[in-house]
Amino acid sequence: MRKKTVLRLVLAAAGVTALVLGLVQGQYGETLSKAVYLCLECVGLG
Amino acid sequence: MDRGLKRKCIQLASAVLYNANFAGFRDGAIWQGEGKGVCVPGLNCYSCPGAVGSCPLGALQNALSRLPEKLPLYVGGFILLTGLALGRLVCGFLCPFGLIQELVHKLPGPKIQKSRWTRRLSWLKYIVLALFVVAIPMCAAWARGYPLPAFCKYICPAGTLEGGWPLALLRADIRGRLGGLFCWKSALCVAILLSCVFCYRSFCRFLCPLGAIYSLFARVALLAMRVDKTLCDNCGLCVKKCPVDVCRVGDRECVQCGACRAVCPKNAIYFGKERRT
Repeated sequence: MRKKTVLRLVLAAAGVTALVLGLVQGQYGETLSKAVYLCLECVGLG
Repeated sequence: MDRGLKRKCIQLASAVLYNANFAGFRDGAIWQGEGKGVCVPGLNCYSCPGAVGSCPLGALQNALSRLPEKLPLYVGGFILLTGLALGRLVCGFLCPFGLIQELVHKLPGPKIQKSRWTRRLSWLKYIVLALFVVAIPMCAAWARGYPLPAFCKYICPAGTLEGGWPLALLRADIRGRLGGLFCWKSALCVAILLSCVFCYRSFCRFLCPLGAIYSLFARVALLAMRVDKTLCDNCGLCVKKCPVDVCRVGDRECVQCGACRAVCPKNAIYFGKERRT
C-alpha cells in the first residue's frame, strides 16, 4: 500500500513536471496548430 | 437511477461535450478556438466538425515525430496524469467511440463469448501502440522529415466515423478528393462496427492503443473498481459475468463498466479509492 502511494506521488510529480515543461516550451501551441486545421490523415485523404 | 443508465448518461454527456461545436455539423468547418489545444481524455477525432478539443493519440503521434529534438512533454504529461487519476475509467465512461460500440452491440445477432482466444487477442493493442503510434510516426519523421500519424492514417475508426464521413457529406471539396485511403479506412471502420455487433467492444479490447496506454495504469489508478477482500468469498462470478477479458476485477482489461458490481452476491466490489482494511 505504501509502495503504491509512493509510486503514485512519483508519477503525479512526473506528470505535472512534464505538463508544465511542455507548456513552457510552447507545446500547447504546437498541439493547437495541428488540431485547428483539417487532419488529412485522420479523415482518410492523405 | 440505475448504475448502468448513469454510466450511459455520462458517456453521452462526454461525447456531447467533446463535440460541442454544433455549428460545425451544419457547415462542415473545423472549430478553431484557443481551447482546442487541450486534449480530451477519450478517443475523439480533432477533425470531427464538432470537436472542441484535441485527440490525445493524434497529438501524441505528432509530438513523437518531433523526437529527438523535442520530448512529447505536454501530451505525455496529460496522458500520464489522466492515466494516474482515471486509468481505463476513461474507456468505460469518457470515450465516445466506446459508447458507439456498446450501442452497436445491442443490435440483435449472435454474441461471441470471451475465451482464451479473445484474451490472447487483447495483446494485439499493445502491438498496434508500439508500431502505429510510436515506431512508424517516429521513423517516418526521421526518414521523410515530416510527421506520419500512422494510426490516424491507416486504422483509426473514430477519425473515419467522426471526421471522414461527416466532412465527406458536408463538403464538396472533400468529396472530390476521396480516394483509396478513404475507401480503406471506411471499409475498416465498417468491419470494426460490424464486429461490435457480435463481440462486445471489439475495438477497445483488441486494437485501441489509447486503451493500451491507460491499461498500464491499472494498478495505480486512483479511481477504479476494487474488491473488498474482507467481504469477497472468491466465488468468481464477477470474472465470469465480465464482458471483457479480465482475469480479476480491475486488471489491465477492465474498462470499469461495473457489470461485476451488479452481480456480486456479497457486495464486495466497490468503485473509487482504495479502502483501508
